[in-house]
Amino acid sequence: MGKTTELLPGTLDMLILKAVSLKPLHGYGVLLRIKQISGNALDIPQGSLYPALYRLEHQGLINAKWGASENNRRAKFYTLTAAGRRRLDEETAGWNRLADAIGAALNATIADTEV
Amino acid sequence: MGVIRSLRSALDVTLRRSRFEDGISEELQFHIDAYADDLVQQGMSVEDARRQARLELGGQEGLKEELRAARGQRFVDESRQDARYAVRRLRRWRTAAVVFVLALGVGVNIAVFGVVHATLLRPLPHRQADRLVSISSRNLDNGREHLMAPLDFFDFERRASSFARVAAYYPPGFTLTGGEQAERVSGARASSGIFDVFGVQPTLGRGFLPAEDRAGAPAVAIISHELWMRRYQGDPSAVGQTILLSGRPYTLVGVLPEGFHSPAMWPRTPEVWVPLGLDPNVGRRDARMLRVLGRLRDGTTIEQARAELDVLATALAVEHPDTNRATGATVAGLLEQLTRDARPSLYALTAAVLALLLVACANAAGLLIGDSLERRHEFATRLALGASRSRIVRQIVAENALVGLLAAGAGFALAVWASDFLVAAAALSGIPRATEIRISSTSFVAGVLLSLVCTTACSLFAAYDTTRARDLDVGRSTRGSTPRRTRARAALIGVEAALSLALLAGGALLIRSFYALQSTNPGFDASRVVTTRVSVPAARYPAGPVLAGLYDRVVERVGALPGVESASVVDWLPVSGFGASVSFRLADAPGATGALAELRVVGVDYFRTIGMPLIAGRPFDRRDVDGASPVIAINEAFARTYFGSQSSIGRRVTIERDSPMEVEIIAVVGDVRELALRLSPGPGIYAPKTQQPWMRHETRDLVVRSTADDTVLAPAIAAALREIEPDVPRSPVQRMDEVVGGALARPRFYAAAVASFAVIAVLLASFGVFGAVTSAVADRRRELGLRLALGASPTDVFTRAASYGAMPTLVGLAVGIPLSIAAGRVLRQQLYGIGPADGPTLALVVAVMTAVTVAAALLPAVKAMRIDPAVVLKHESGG
Repeated sequence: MGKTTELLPGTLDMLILKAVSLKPLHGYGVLLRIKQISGNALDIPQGSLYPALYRLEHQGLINAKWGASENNRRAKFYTLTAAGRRRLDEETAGWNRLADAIGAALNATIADTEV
Repeated sequence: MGVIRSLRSALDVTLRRSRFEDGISEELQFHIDAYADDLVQQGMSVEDARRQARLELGGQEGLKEELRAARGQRFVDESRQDARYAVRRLRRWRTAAVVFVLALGVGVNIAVFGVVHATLLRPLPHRQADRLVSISSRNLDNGREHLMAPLDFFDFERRASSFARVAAYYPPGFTLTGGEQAERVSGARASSGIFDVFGVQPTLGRGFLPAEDRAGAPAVAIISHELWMRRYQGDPSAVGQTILLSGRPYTLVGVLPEGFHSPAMWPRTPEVWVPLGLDPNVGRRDARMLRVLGRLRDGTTIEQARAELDVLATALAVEHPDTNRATGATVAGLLEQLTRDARPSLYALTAAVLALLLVACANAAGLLIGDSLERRHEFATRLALGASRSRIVRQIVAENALVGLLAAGAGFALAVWASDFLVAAAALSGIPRATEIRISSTSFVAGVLLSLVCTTACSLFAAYDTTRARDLDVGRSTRGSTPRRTRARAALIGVEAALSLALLAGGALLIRSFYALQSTNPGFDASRVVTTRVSVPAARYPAGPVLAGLYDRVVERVGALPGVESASVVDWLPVSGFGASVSFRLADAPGATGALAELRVVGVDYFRTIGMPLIAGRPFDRRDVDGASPVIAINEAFARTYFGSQSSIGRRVTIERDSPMEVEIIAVVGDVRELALRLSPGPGIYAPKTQQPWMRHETRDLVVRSTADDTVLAPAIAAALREIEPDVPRSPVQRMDEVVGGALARPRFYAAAVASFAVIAVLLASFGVFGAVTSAVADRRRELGLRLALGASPTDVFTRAASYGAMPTLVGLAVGIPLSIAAGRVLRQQLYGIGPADGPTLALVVAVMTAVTVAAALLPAVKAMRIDPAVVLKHESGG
């Protein structure tokens, strides 16, 4: 197993929204998708996944619907709602700004600081 | 995200709750299966894979709780759950017992509150009733209040500025004739302000005019709506017609509103009102006969009115030193004045039921703690599975709120059922406003609140106790005992014992007072004596020789009936609560002034008829006619007080009447409790109604001593009266021992009430001891079994088990003794012939409580003795 990183607080919701924005997923699928899109770098604590899903559903950011899984079992699939998509865009933009800023800060050299 | 949306989501979830719940399980199961499958594919064994999958997801109970919370379902869901728990618990006997115990406590409180509310708290049924006051004269020498002389009243009415209106009345009854049946009606002669004071106006016709207060005004009458309906069938033309009252014609000028009544007009609101009609220039200032009411002017306080009357009374004392030297005046709120006598008793009764409520609460709290003891395992498990502590406390309180409502309902039903008895008993014992007693909505609300407060307090106590027990350890603590919990229960038992003891002591004191009162010799022989009231039209029988002649004929006719030994008349029956006093001085001690003696005006043969012993001299007889030398008899208290060991026969006394008159003492008779059974007799004078001025007294009470059965005698007496005067209204023939018994009604009521509350409290306390010992024994089976195994004798174990209940009870009793003495003090005014801290009574109630406690602890302690150590130890080591 590769090296994993602890999730920053508040980022799980964003990752879930991103995961289900690509295609409808069941809970376990969300877990796998996040692992996959992060190149196995992010470790989602399983216990906090479902509360997050239920919270997002309650906030109307995702929808849940029962359907059939890959191997034909009944599973609950989550899809992004319009509100969820807006939220995802906002969060992504925000995150990018923050990541850039932090990245810039951490990569700063002495020369930069003396400008 | 709006509130509505959250609510809808929560509602939605609630409505589809079971589907939601299944959904959670299915979703989580799917997750575990899918993950396990992947793990298997990675080469893990199926069993390991499943365990790993479960482990990573975490504790499912906690997770589910979190999911529900995330969906906003939690609160609604929990409330439903609480309700379900509560319903489930209702099936348990313990809950039933809590409901029963609290219902008992709340029920008697609602019932007694009904009495207190109707009597002391509810405003009188008059407009601005808080402005109504009672005004009386006061003897400054002894502080006693008395009725007011007409001349004083007219002066106060003219001079006092504190009142919007004052009014005076006195209550003669009338005989209403002119219909097919003569009827005795309650009546009042009242001054013109009376209806203004009460704040009513006749619905038909007019009220009284100020001119009608004085003698010589036209004879007019105002009647009640009820009498108007009864006699005139509600005919408006009745106003203006003539009505015959006690044989005299009056012009009917007004009809009062329907339902008008005033508790001030005790014992009955008059049906007929006529003007006062007193001549202000005639009469003496010591002819005290008027009851005076007033309505305070707006903005004037009772204190200001009292201060003004003080000044006015002082002025009158200066103007008329001969009569008003020691006469003051006083003002009291009408409601306060009416309820003054009943107030201490009712407060004592309230204290008793509150004590009972506390006992019930302590009992309920004990039951609830016992309950939580049994459910400790359940709570511990739920705590371990992730339920929060506040969640459990909330659950306990929620469960018991339902219990509280049930208790309130049951208590209310109990109060309604009991209030019938209460009203009857209260009316019988002369509690003012007894007819107004009802279980009102106020009592209901008060009862529900009381019940909820009690159950919440009890359940918080239990919840605190349960969740604080942090040794709630799933595996271990289901059997082990926690000393703190035991201490809580012991404290409750102690409280119950202390309060029960105080109640029991109070009840015992009242019962002993009652029996002391009952066995008090009234001073006459009430057996074989009957009595009835003879009322005749005053117009045809004016006071004086004509009326006296009628009484003579009545006594003669009734005396000749078969079986009758003797018959006579008297102005007021003994023990009746009524009487007059007369001021006198000893003729050979000219300096002495103004001593008072109780006065009774009696017929010939009265002493023999009523059964009073003649100590010295001769009874009144035919020689004592008007014109002969005036004579009186005195009682032993009089003789003892004023003549000591000297003979009093032949001594002379000057009686202050309209004019001073000198009389000769011809007899000394035994002391009779003329005013009330509980009052020991003071100096008394008996005057013959055959002489003036006594002849003018109405001696309406006929007394008859006979060997005949009273069921035969009563109709014979009624027939004899009707033969003499057909217009005599029917009046019941009563046995004299019933009259005496009537004087015992009030003490009997209080004694019975407090004693029954005490019995309930003692039963509750013993129930509490029983429960505590039972659960302590169950709780300590292991310890007791171990002791037995290690060689303790069954007697040791018995003693130890019994002490769980006995020790706190003993402590409670020790605290209860000073409490009992305090209870005796509260009851002081109701006690008779016994002190508030009566040693034998205290010893008796302590003994009773101890015996009851021992009996209650006996059964569970015997059970403890029979514990089989082998069974207990084997069972315990397994779990």
